[in-house]
Amino acid sequence: MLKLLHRPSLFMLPLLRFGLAALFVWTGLLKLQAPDAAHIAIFQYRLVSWEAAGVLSTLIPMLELWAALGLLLPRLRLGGISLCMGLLFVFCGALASALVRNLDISCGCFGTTDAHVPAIRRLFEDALLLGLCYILWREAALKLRSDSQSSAVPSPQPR
Amino acid sequence: MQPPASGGKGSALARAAFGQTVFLVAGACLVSYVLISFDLKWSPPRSLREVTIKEAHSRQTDFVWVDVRNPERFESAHIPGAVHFREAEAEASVEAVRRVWKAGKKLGVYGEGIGSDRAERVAQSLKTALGTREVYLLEGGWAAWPRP
Repeated sequence: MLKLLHRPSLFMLPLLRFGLAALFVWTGLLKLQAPDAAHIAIFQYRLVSWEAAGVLSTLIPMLELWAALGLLLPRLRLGGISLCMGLLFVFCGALASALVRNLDISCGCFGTTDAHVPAIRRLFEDALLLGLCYILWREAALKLRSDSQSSAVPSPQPR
Repeated sequence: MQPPASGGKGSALARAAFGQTVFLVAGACLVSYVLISFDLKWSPPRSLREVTIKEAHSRQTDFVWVDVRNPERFESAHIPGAVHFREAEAEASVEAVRRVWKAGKKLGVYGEGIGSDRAERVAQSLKTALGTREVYLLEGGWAAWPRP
């Protein structure tokens, strides 16, 4: 038991992964069930044209769902984490640019449910999620390295 | 000469991450393409036509704009020259539109966003009241209208 507590990764990391995957599934489905609201929310950032916002209103939630799938499948874990980080970078950038330009917009991160949540709060939340993704990325990278080391032919000389 | 061990592992990691990310992005793009092809989004009723933001903006003077949003929203901002239409005072509002509208001009009706029921109802009633077929719904409504 004490050993487990010294290695929080054993139960904390899967929990974190499932939590992130659940969050991305939820936000993706919220946007997909109200595509028109997502279309307007994306367009209100004034970063893309109306037509491009229409495409993004389907593509972004779909990327969120596939990122969640990647987080859940061991063979696609690194890709899932990378995609999550990429999406969060884009969200942070869009929110920061809206704040800099003093745009009065709803984030659109949670479909129509977050109309009254200030963009600055969402920016902090996305930055926090980005930090959590980095922890997962580091762990997945270490695991990949240890897997490749264990599968390699053992060298007679000590390292 | 062999590459340094750490570099080799680093590139293997980058390759794995890149390959998996490309796979996931490609999957998402494919499904999005199918969804967009099926056009699951709102589309206007057959009796009404939509005008795109681009077209509306470039040919603004061809249109008489009718704003069906709440009075406070109309007063805070609207398309230049737009007539406010109050559904509760439909007859007076139709008269106000009739005063600025001339035969040959198009009528553009807009609400708050995409698929505004109020905009649809007003567009139908204006079509009947003014006897013109040139009544359009603004795609995306006020939400899509470019702000300075």
